[in-house]
Amino acid sequence: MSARDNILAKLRKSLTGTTPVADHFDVDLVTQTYRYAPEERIPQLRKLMEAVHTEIHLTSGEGWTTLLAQLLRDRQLPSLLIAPTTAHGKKITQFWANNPDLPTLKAYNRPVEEWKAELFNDTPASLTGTLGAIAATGSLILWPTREEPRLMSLVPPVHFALLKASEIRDNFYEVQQEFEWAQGMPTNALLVSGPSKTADIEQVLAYGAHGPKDLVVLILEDQ
Amino acid sequence: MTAIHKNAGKIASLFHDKLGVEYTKDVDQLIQIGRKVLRQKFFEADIGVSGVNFAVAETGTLLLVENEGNGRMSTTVPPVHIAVTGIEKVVENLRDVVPLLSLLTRSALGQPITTYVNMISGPRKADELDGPQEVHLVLLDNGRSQAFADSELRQTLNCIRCGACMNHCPVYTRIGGHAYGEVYPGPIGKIITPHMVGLAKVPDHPSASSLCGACGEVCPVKIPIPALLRRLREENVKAPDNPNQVMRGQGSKYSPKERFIWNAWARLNSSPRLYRLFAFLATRLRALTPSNVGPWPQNHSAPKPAARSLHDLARDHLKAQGDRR
Repeated sequence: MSARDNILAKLRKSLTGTTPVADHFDVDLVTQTYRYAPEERIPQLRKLMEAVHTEIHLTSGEGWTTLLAQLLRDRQLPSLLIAPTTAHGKKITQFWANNPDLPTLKAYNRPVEEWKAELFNDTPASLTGTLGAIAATGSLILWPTREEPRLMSLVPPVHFALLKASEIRDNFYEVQQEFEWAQGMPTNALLVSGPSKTADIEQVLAYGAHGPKDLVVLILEDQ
Repeated sequence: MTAIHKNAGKIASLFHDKLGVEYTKDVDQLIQIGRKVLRQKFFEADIGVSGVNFAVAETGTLLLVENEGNGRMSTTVPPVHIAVTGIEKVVENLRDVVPLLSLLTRSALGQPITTYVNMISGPRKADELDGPQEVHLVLLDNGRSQAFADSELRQTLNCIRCGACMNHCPVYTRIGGHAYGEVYPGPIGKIITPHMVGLAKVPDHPSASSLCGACGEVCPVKIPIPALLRRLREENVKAPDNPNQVMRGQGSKYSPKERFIWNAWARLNSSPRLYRLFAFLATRLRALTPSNVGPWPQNHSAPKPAARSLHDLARDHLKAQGDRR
């Protein structure tokens, strides 16, 4: 008998003669107090994310590239990691082509093994899209893809995230239902609610532990 | 839980001694030193090991919560990820994590959510550019099926490891985690550890509590920790020949002498005739009470029965009021 069979047999034996408890999942419990009018969603998200030191900018589908370039210049970031094949990646490439003297663009277009040292030591910032956000908890939904792999939102010290205002949802339950996550999850899905932080030493809150030190969210109000 | 057994000064000395960095007690600087040193470790590691907060049966998803990012680093950067978790962390459906996640982060830290909620459903796919090439999940029993077999002790397994019981425990907050000598400290440690290592190895765990009830009060999944502690105290003193064996190492504190005394005490208090005789003798023969009763009189005066029992006094009182019954 394998360990697995052994454990399962013990558990089954303990349940002999008992009736399974009915699944009383209460949808109202996890949604009712976490519903927002459309105009409340941005302020709610902003309140929670700014409380944990996220930098939030309201911009537009037209103006965000200009703002991004300005933010990079202000922070004196020498380069930015992007996903050139995505819609927003193309937009950045186009804007950069028309505006000389902007920070270098880098593409995450090869397996991490081929450029791990450069990613860790010489990639100060990245920009990714998001699948949306959750107003109730102030979280971005990230669903890493081939174009925007997992480490893109983790290793660079500054992470810029693009969020369309229309994709801010009320709560986590609604997100799971809407995207039908129960039917299939990607290899990795993430909720990101701010820059990395810790209170391990004397419960003093410090930012920039192991993930990005700065999370900058650009909300596209008209999209 | 934070490292409550070390303050910033101790961590500063440790970093200075072991890492050769300049001594600093500045928390932000200490965190940045940790970041720099550990980044190199994440970069070099061949295997990342993690725990799991919830494992979802429906979608085959491991859900991990954290604020720091070291969890994401360990599970994403090294080519192999090994997750180790107890079998009680498995939940049936993905939707079940919605209320559990909310309870976990709010009870642990008072946060609506942690910085990262990391949901891992498999290794890197052929067309993906990063993530571990292998993901392994180790499901541990380690005494959990034993706890599961008893309908009262089973509640121990409802724990979501938020740490609220520790944060509110007057014992834990004063002595810290290492004092418990095992992996899980605090109130939850006192009720789960006996299943993991056997009650005989940690016979004092169930007694290291004032039963103030704070842990049961704050538990978000309503584990009746004080009741379970009392239950384990009972299991601790069960006679070895008791046919009802519910856990490994039970009965390790059984003492025939103590059992005899309590049995005699029970008989005395449940028989009015015996009790009256006892009270009569104790009050009349009080002069004979020994003054040397073990270590007790070192700091206290030796106990001596009163000249008249409370029953006796009450009878007189009622008589004086003319309320004869």
